[in-house]
Amino acid sequence: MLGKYFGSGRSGAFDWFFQRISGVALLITLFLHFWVLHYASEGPVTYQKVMARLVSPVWKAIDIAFLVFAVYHAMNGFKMIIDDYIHSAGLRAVLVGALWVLSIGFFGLGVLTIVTLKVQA
Amino acid sequence: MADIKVTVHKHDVVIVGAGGAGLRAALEASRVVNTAVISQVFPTRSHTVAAQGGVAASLSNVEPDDWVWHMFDTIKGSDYLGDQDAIEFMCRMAPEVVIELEHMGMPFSRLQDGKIFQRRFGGHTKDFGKEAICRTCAAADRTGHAMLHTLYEQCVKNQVVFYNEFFALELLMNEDHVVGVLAWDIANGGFHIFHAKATMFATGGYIRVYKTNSNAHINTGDGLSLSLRAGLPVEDLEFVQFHPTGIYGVGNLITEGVRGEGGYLLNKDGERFMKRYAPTVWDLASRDVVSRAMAEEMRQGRGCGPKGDYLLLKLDHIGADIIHERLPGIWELAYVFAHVDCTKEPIPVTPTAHYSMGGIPTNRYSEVVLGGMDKPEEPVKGFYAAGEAACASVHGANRLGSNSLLDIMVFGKVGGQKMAEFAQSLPEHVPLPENPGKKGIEEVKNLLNGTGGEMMGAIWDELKESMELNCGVFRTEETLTTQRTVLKKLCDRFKNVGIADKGLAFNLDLIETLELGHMLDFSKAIVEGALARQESRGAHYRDDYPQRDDEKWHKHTLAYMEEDGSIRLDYKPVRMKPLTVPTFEPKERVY
Amino acid sequence: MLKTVTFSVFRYDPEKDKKPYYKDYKVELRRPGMMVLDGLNQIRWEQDGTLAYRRSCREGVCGSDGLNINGVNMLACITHIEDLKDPIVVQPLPSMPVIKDLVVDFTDFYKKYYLVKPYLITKTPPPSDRERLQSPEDRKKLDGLYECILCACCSTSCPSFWADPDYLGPAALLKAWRFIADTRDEGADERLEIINDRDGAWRCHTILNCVEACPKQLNPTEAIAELKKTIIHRKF
Repeated sequence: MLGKYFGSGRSGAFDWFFQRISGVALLITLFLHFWVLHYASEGPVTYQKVMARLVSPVWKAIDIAFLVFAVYHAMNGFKMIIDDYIHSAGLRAVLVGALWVLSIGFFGLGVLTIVTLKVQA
Repeated sequence: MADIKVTVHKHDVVIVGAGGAGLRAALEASRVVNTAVISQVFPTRSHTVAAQGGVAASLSNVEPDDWVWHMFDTIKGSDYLGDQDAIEFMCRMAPEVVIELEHMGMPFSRLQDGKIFQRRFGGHTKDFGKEAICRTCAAADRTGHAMLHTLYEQCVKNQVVFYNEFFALELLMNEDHVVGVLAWDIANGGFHIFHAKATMFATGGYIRVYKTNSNAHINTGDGLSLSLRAGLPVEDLEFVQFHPTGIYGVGNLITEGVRGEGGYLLNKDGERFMKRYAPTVWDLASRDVVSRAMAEEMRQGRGCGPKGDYLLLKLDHIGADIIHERLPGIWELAYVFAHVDCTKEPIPVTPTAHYSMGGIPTNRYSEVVLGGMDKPEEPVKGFYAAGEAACASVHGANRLGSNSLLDIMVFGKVGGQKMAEFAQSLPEHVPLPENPGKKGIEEVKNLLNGTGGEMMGAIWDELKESMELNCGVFRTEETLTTQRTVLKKLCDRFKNVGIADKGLAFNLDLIETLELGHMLDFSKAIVEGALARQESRGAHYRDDYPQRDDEKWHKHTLAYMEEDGSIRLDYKPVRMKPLTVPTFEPKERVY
Repeated sequence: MLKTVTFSVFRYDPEKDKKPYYKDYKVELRRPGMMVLDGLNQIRWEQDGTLAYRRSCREGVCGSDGLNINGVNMLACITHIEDLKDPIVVQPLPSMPVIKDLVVDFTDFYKKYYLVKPYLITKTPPPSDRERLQSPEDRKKLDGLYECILCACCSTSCPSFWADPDYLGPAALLKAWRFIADTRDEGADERLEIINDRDGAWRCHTILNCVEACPKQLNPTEAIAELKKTIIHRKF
């Protein structure tokens, strides 16, 4: 039992702290997203207007940051649930590993979408 | 029933009881020799945890103080029955043991300058009785809790060995040498022999034998009966302290610290009656004086309520802030047990059985001693006692408030040191006697296999009710003789007691029945001692002999139990010679 | 006739019973202000001697009789029968192995208490002949922390504690903060190292059951929050 309390491994301090930071960041970026979508443009929302915004490099940077926080926050939430309920170190390693694969996958897909976005002719 | 396993353990020192005295002794002894503590409950559940007001020491943090004044107050409080060498020893050592506690981490309340907070307490005075003094060091009104937890924390740090939830069954002796104890494993069942070079009883008091009391369920005086059954004496059991302020109807204690902080008692006319009984210090007289004054007020029809059977403790004038800061536990107790918000209304109180001054006779080194009027005291080899179970005798006929936490620290510490020295001086353990623990094992087996029809609860009810009625604040030859007969009958009924639970795991029925057996045994010593002592001294008040009689009775009672269970009384002189100061000769006690 | 209430008591004797069961008893209310412990004593002394439970001080300071009463953890000795809904369901503290009836095995709970080094750790020697000084303001920081009675009502009410058998739990963490908050203590580093662990402070999800359960009105959640803050401040 003692071994579990002393020694190596990630303590959870980072997870806990950045869950809060990413939470705050998401709160800001979500509101930003909402505001931009519904109130920021004049006149009817058209495909052209939206795409013009989304392909600008500044917006791509903002979206990637949004993506980082969202994926981190979601996956870290799952990790905490795993930490709460899975007590065998082996199974936990497998599940957290799977989470990593999923997160990287989602993150990759997201980045791909954002980066390769172009206005269709 | 299948045979129950007997396991033997060997330690240099074995301490029975994990209250303040036991843990303090364990801390000392375990530094030097292999030490184990046996406790009926997890250590922090021992009754020291309930002590409220504080621990006395002449630290002079609030006003100049002197250990000689403390010594005088203690001797006067004891109604001159206390042994003056032991009292000097304790009062001189008090500052040292309190400072040690602070160093161990005890969370004392603090004064503005950062020193330990001290408050006034009953019977503690300046300059030999001139006025009340701040001598009692406190952690709010949870001093015992803070102390016991601190001591246990230190034991954890020092890796002391504990056997928790073990119940002592028999003191083991080989010839005249104490060689350990037999105990019962409460949680799992099973006998355990603890073979030791030195054994200490720090088993606490016995006040559960009274119906209305301030004590925990575990305070059943087991150590006293185990000593009696081993042929050793107990001392001064007739001196039972009644604390002035137990909550009416239930007995839970309201600390004397309430009066130390400025609270006072009122009768039904709203009069501060204590001024008539103790013209100098009023409500801060010693406990026997205040309790008797209260009982007298109620006898004369000045008690409160429809039955006139309680008085009022007023403290709201101290102010809600101070109450919540210094007496938070009292506020809680009064609220939970008396439905009173004591920042607004007074608490209904009545004198309540609280503490036993008597116990297993020891000298100032916590060594259990034998002696008599003409026989000098001589230690029993390998046997020690400390705390409420022991009688050093620093409290004599009446203990001062906040001297008990001091008692357990001083005599726990010294006892621990002496046991370690003694254990080191013995090259080998003295062997166990033949058939060790035979009596204790039989006692348990008889109950587990028995078919007796008497319910333990019924006998116990009658015991505690009759003790309260006949052996309470006021006693007479008549009530005590009645009680002697009652006890005889109850003992006869107890021979036919049966338990419902025959299992081994956590058999509370078995434990409580064994405890009742203990209570019946030492109650006889209380009553016989009280009946013989034809005088009034300290907490022992005989309506038929209202004066103190130094000529005939300035001596300690020793009670032995004969083979047939009857009590034989003997006496020994009071040790009047202090260590370094002149003797305080008996004087009339006025507060 | 006296008013009675029904106690529905969890019973289990490992030597006899395959499964736990509940047994109903009638308890007479003989005086106002009777506590649940008085009810249990009445059952034991007058009706059924085989019932087992722990008790000692009967005034809420020794911490022996933490029980789950009508679904909430509390001390039997300071809980008024009159305040409870009839029938009163009395169970052992949740999530701990039962030894017999209402008596549970505290071994795991104590082990976690020992793990946080529950004693004053000092490196600077104290003054030789007097106490260390501590201002009343610094001493006040210990109020609400040092009063813990180790009754386990908090830890055994905590879903995180139920879910993760290795989680230190609110009682041990409160104890750790009691020492770290003590200006005399110099053991914060070693204690925080233990607490900054997957099974330490981070398993607390601010559920607040511990605060509700504590019979001494302490706030373990706040203590844990202080621990978390201290760790984060030191690390980031």
